[in-house]
Amino acid sequence: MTDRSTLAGNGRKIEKGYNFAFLDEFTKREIRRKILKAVAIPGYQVPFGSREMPLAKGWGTGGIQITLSIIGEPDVLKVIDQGSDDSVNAVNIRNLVERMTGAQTTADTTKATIIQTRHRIPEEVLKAEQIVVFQVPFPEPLRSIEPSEQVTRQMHARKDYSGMWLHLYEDIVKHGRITIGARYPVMVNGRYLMDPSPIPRWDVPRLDQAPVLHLFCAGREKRIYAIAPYTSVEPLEFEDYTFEVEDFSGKICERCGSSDTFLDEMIDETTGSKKYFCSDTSFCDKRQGSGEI
Amino acid sequence: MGYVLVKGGGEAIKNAEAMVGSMRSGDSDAVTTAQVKDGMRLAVDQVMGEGGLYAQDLAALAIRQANGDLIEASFLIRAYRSTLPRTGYSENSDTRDMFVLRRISSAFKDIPGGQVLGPTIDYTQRLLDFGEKDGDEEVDRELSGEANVSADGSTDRGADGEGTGSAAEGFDIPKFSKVADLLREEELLEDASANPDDEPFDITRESLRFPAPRSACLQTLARGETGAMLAFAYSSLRGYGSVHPTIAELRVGYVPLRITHPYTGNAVSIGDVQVTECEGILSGVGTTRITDENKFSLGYGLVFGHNEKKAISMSILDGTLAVSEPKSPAEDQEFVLYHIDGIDAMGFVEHLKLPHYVTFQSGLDRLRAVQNEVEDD
Amino acid sequence: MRDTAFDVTFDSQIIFRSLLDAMARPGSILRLPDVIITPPVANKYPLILLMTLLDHEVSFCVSGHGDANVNADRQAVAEYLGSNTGSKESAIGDADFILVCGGSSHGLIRRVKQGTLEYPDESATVVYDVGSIGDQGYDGHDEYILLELSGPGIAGKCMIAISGMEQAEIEDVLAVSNYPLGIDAILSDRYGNIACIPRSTNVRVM
Repeated sequence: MTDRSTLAGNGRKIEKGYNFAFLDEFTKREIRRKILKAVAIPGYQVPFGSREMPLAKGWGTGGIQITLSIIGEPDVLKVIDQGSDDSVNAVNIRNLVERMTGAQTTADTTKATIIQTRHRIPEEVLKAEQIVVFQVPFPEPLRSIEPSEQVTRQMHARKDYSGMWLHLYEDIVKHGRITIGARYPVMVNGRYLMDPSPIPRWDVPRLDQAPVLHLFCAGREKRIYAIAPYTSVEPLEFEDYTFEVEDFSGKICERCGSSDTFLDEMIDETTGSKKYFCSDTSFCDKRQGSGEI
Repeated sequence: MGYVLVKGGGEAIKNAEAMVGSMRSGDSDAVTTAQVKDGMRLAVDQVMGEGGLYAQDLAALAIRQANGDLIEASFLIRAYRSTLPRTGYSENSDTRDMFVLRRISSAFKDIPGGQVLGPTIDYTQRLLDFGEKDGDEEVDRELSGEANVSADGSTDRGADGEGTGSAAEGFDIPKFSKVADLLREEELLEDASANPDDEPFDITRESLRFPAPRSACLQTLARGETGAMLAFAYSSLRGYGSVHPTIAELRVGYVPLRITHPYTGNAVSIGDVQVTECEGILSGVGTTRITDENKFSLGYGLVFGHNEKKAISMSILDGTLAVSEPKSPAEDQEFVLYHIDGIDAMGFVEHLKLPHYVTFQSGLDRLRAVQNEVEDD
Repeated sequence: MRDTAFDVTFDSQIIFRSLLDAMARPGSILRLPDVIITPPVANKYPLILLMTLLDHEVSFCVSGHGDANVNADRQAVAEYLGSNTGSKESAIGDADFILVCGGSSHGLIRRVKQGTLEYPDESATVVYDVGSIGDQGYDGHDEYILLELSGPGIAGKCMIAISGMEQAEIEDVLAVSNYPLGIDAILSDRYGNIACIPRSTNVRVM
């Protein structure tokens, strides 16, 4: 039998002294069992033990625990933060997974089988074989209106989301529109209110009836949840005050010219004027390289 | 000039790590792990307690590696602990078997066995001692030699599989009876809340749920961050809550740890752990706090190493978390238990340093939309 | 006796990915890779699945006919699972994982854990040892039941044909489910095919 202690099956080296994928097999099994339950009950938050990782809590320990529990030899991993592969924290996470599994990594969304992300969904169309793993700081969509976990769990049990509807109503009365930015609450499979993680509203419509599996994990709060493919995901809205994505009308990316992506706003040092660039940097690279929009 | 896509995150990380080393303010010799362990024992004890791992050498190493940042050091220990396999469970420990270094009671002027001040600075004057620049190591060494106590409570499994004795075994050590036991004999203290054979909740295996059982509360408190616990305990004493204890007994000393030998089935000692234990009678100040059964209840605190402020805080919070009608923050189980973990708190508060420009952009979009609407009106 | 042919690290990961895919896409039929274990049963695949998921933190129950021969099997299977995973047997009403052999639990499935409204995840996962699974009942000789599935994980509708399972059993499973409460079923046939029917799936018996 192959010596698996220092080599992953594809011949790549993994860190000595650690189990494949860092986590012990009991931890992986617990997470795997919980993932299966999460997938069977879309949008419902499954509690799990959650382990301390060599990354600080709040910096992706949940996302990493999922990735490490599911990743295997043929997988190709992409890690992004705010849409960028080069963000220092994304680099750190990618390095950790590489060290612990010998996994292949990529910045190319189309080549990845597992995409671990903080706060964005990549712009490119995803295929059925891909799994998106979201890093989640706040798994509870009702937390902003109710601080107690005991109470919010009861609300989910009874499908009592009146508090959130009231919050949206009061928002409209006060400001003339719903002012929730990221973390827009969505109804999943017509049953559970869910926090899609701090992705911008731009990305929320991508969750509805998607061909891919979305897995969400909060390491510090110890919750796993999921949206199976082809599941209805509806942002909360009123008939007369509907869900709105961010407005980038009239703006294009300085690098690649895209007018259909989520844009980062930046101040030009020399001119003092505002400039915009694709948040999804690897997508921007592709478009810029090909010259096509 | 155009925008240069920021790449090279990996290199930035490497350079940042290298710069940390260059932050030393002087050119003295680097402090060694042994120096931290020997000279900064209370820091070592705090880190063991908050990291949740009884290992003095590792705690000392972590403090040195973290340049003195104790919460960071506790994080290193907690992360390391996570990689260790769980090989078994000890037998229930009884602190009545403690080899006592220090033992005081506030409830009574005099107690059987006497008030033993032990190593404490409680009654010294807090004046910065400019004369003692490098510590009086000579005196310290002599004193520890005289006491003939192994301050290193590390486990030491013999090669033959039989445990080595605890530091206390073999000596003619006076055992001190528990003040709380005297109160129990007189039917003044409530009964224990659990049986010794009950299976405790395991916070490292399951996430908390509420109302939390007492074992889950105590575990969370035992590895809670000292400062956070102090703040909540203080709030209860000052009036944001109804719990105010009188200390029946505060003990610092070494408790033997025993396991069941995997082959012989006998109870075997694997060493000592130094702990601080506080048993607080929740008697109240002003209004006397009496339970429905006409007894006093007990708040319990137990922490690794020598950490009195944390053990006392723990005993107060054990009391506040059991209040049936919570009215103040310290009495709110979720509020206390979710927020006293230093590693969770540090991680999440500091995560604000991570890029949030996409989420911020989303918020900007909303603010601008609202502002535009106001302008249009 | 521990079956050393099962690689706890790498086999578990590969098998789990198939399971994840199957649970995320109910009605899809996936082929498990071959793992050369030798359990005391005719169909080893349900056991491969349980070896992947079980350990001392969860419990299991083996259910099947009241037949004496199958009883002996049941004991051997339970021992095999226990010694290979560290998991403990429990009564069917407490078990986290249930293995149903012979296509029917004879109504016992109605006693299984369905979860609570506060914690619907605290419910059983049931592995059915079936004859064959196909997408339109290709196995012409055996009797089969045909199910039409829709819901999360399925684009539109899909059909699945199962042989070696009683229709009454499907009806019992559906009777137990009251979304979000319910059980999640994994079908595992003797050729190594698996398919899942989580509680979120709408099932119509054709």
